[in-house]
Amino acid sequence: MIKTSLYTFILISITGGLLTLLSSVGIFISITMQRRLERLQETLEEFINLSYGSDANLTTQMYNLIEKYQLHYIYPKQPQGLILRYIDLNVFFILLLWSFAFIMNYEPPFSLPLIMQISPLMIGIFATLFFRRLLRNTISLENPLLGTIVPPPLKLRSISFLSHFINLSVMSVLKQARLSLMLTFNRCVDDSDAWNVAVDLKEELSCDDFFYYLALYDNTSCYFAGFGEVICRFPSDPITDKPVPVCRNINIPLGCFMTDFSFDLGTDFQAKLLIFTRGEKHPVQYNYRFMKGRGFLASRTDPVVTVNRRIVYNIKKDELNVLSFDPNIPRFQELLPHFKLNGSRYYFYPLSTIRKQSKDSPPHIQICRKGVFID
Amino acid sequence: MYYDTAVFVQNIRQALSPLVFPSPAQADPYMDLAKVKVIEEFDPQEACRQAPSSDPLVQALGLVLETMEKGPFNMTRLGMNELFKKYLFLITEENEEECTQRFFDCFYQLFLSSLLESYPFTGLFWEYLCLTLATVSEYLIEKRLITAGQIFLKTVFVMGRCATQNCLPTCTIQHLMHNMEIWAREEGYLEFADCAKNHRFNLECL
Repeated sequence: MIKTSLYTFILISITGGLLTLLSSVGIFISITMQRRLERLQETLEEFINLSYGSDANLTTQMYNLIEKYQLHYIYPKQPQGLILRYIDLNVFFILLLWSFAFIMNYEPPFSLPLIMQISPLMIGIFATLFFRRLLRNTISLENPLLGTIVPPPLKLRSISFLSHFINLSVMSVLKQARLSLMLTFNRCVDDSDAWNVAVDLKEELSCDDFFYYLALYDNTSCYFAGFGEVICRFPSDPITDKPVPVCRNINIPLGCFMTDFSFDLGTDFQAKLLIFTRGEKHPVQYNYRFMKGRGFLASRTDPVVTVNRRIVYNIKKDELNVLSFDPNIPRFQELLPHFKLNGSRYYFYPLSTIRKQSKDSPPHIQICRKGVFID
Repeated sequence: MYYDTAVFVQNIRQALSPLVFPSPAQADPYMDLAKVKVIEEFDPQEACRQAPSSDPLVQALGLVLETMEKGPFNMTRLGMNELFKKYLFLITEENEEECTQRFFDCFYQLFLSSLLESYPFTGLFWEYLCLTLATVSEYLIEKRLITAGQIFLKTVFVMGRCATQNCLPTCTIQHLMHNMEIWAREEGYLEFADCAKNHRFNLECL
C-alpha cells in the first residue's frame, strides 16, 4: 500500500512523463511536416516556373509535377492512424490522471472556492484538447490551417485558384491545357436534311474552375452560343482507390445544335471562346478556325490566343458582372443576364438557323447535362 | 550550285529512280548477323562471299541528311517532300509492309538528326513533318492500306514520344491518330482503331 499523500505526487509525475512523450510526438510531427512542406513548396515553385515557358509543349511535365505533388501531399494512411491513436490515448490518460488526482484530494462539501480550485484543471483540459486538435490538423494537410500555405493537389488544376492566389499568367497555364474544339456531326433521325452537331471542348490537361463563353458563327449568322462554369470532379479510382488530381484527354460537352449546313463550311466559319477566371479582370480570348475530319470538325492546332482588353469584368458571389463589352463577339450582350457561376453549362442556339423554324421563334437556353468524359 | 533547288530535286529523283519494291535484294540476300535466327543455318564462308546491292533509298537519304548539315531548311523540306512523294507513288497492296518499313526507317533517321542540339530548325522540321504525316495518313486510309497504316502508326508514335520529350507540340499527330481511329471504327477495323487510340493516349505519358 502506497501512502495516500505521496500517491498524488506519483500520479502527477506520471502525467508529466506522458506530457513529455506527447510533446516529443509533436516535435516528430513538426519535423516530418517541415520536410513535407518544403517538398511541396519546391514542387509548387517548379510548377509555377514551368508555366512561364509557355511556347514549348510542357503538358507532360506539368502533369507529372501534379502527380509528384500529390505523392508528397498525401501522408501514408497506416502511420498516420497509428500516430493519431497514440495521441488520443495519451491525451485520454493525461486527463484521466489529472482528474483522478483532483478527486482523491476532494473533501466535501461542495463550495464556491472549489470552483476556483478546479479552474486550473479546466484550463489544462482545454489546452491539452486544443493541442491534440492542432497535432491532428498538422498531420493531415487537408484543413483550413494549412490549406492556404500548401493547396491540395486538386487546386493545381483550378485556373481560378492559380490566378487568384498566385501571381501567374492564366494564359500560360491555359496554353498547356491546350483547349480545342470538336464538333461531331450526326444525321438527325427524323430529318434527313439536318445535322445534329455536338460541341465538345477538349483539354489535354484537365484545367477547370473557370467561366467560358463560346460563340460559333460565320459572317451571316451565329449558330451556337454556350456559356457556363467548367468544374470537373474526378472520383478516386474505384479499384486502386487512388485519388485523381488531374486527367488527360478530357472532353467537356458544351451542348449541341441542329443545322442544315453540310460539312463544307465556308472559310469564314469560326469560333470565339472567352475564358473568365476569378483572379483576373480581362478574359482570355481564343479565336478558332476549323479543319475537317471524318464526321467531325476540329479546331486548328494553332488558335490565336489573346487577352481581350475591351472586356472588363469582375466576379462577385458567383455572379459575373461585365463592366465593358466588346461588340465584336456575337450574342454576348444578349446573353449577359444569364451569366452565373453555378457549376452548370448552358447553351443556346438561335432556331432561325434551321430553315423550317420561323425567324421570330424565341431563343432557347438549355442546360447541358452530359458529364465530362475521357476520349 | 549546291543551292539550286531544281538541281537538288533532280539529283534526288535521279537517286530514287531505280527504287522498286519488292527490292531485288530479297532475291539475292545479304547476310545480316542481327537477323540470324537459327545458328545452324549460318555459314560464315557463304556469308563473307555475299555483297550488298546498292540501295537508292540510302543514297537519297544521304542527300537529304547532307542538307540538314549544310543549310537552308528549304532544301531539307524539298528532299523530304520528294521522299514522301516517292513513298506514296511506290506503295501498293503487295509491297505495303516492306515499302513502309524502309521509308519510315529513313524518316525516323531524319527526325532523329533533327533533334540534334546543333540543328537550328528543329521546330520547323517537326512542324513540316507533322503536316506531311497528316496527308500521308489520309492517303493510307483512302487506299485502305491497313498493314502500312499499322507500321505508320508505330513509327509516328515513337517519333511523337521523342517530340514530347523535347517539348515539341503534338496536336497534329493526335489529330491524325484520332482521324485514323474514327475511320477504322467506321470501317470495322476494330483492332486498328484500338491501336490508334492506345497510341494517342500514350503519346504524352512519359
